[in-house]
Amino acid sequence: MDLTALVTGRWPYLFTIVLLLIGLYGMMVKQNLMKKVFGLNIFQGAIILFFIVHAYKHGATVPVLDDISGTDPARYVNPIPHGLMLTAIVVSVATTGVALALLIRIYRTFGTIDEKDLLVRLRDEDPQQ
Amino acid sequence: MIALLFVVAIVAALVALQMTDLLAAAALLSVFSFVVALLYGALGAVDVGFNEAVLGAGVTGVLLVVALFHTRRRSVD
Amino acid sequence: MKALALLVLGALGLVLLAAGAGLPLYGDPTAPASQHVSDDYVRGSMVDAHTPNVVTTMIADYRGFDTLGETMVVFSAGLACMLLLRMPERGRIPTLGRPKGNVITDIVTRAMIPVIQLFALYVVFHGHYSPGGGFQGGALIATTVLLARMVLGFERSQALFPTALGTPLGLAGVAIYAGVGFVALLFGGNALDYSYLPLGLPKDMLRNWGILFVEIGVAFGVMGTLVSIFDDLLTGGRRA
Repeated sequence: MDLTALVTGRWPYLFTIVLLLIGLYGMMVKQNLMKKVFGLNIFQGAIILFFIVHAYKHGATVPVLDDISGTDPARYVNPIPHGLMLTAIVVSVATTGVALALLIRIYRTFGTIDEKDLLVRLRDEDPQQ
Repeated sequence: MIALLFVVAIVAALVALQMTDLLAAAALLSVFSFVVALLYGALGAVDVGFNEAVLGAGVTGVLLVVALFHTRRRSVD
Repeated sequence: MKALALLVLGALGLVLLAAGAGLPLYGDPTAPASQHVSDDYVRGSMVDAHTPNVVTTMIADYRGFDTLGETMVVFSAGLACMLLLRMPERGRIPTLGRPKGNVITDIVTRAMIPVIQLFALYVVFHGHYSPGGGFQGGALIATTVLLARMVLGFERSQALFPTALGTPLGLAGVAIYAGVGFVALLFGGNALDYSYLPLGLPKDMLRNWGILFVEIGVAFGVMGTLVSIFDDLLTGGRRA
């Protein structure tokens, strides 16, 4: 594991990995279901950040063609990850909406959104679980 | 500059997961989305930054607040 | 249980760090991701479609099928919320949806909504020449409706955008997008090949107009679906 190679030339990837792990921590360790949705959002932000960091070039500008830089591809940031991530952000909002609808139904049926209470009440309803 | 924005984003994410008052945590998640949108802009992705600012900091924050007013506002952990 | 989760996270972190050392250097113009296809997109955006914004050309023209699938995904998420939540019984509007009665927020909201909508129209129609496009513009119009629902009250904001219009508008957006592709298919080309649209313009201007129609479809789709999801979550699915 070449830590010096990671820190000197590739330091944004370190931060992105830390954010990814924070999002996963929120999804796995937290008991409240709403905190799990927060963790999902943080995780999605970290993944999109990872792609955007991949697309960056030193000394390059926004990928809108203008007269100063002409059509030289080295003067523009790589546009393909931007296009992929545009749709990823909209899909993340839609996924959050469906997750929150599920949360409201769970609260209406069981009266709690805490994971431990939820498991207890599920076991009370169906004794075979 | 980019390192500073990364640090602010990491701190906002950590604090949003630790708070027990879910309304404050939703507000902090909006702050996280906004700082990440600034980060996208700083890395040259202006389209993606615009989208994240409108959808992440705006719509997702509002949806979270609306949903938590239908469920509990405080959490145990 | 918590210790096991932290252990798994630590192991995953070590694996990611070990893999991260093999990633290309930050900001390298000769990275493999920036080599083969993206050069063609940057060089061909003005020539093929007369559009300076390479990202818009890419999502609406070169990779138009992916965006069509994504619009359908967003619409089906709106449908999923509807299926999960809507009930035929009647219910009260929660506190968030009642009019606030505060003069300052009322007047500021009523002044800001037309300005934001005008800016959103500008963003949609100028997606060719500056950062913008259908997703951003549609989301901005949806935020004006959300603002009206929360500040002016659920009842009064029905005059701005009725709740029943949300899902049909999302469907209309998907239909516009798929319809443009179908028209291209009818007139002899492949589906979503805008150079076969029957408008009587040179080929690159045809693709320019095709991108505009498709972005309008995307804006409708995103706006209708976001408002529909918000209304379902606000009322809890019960009719007012």
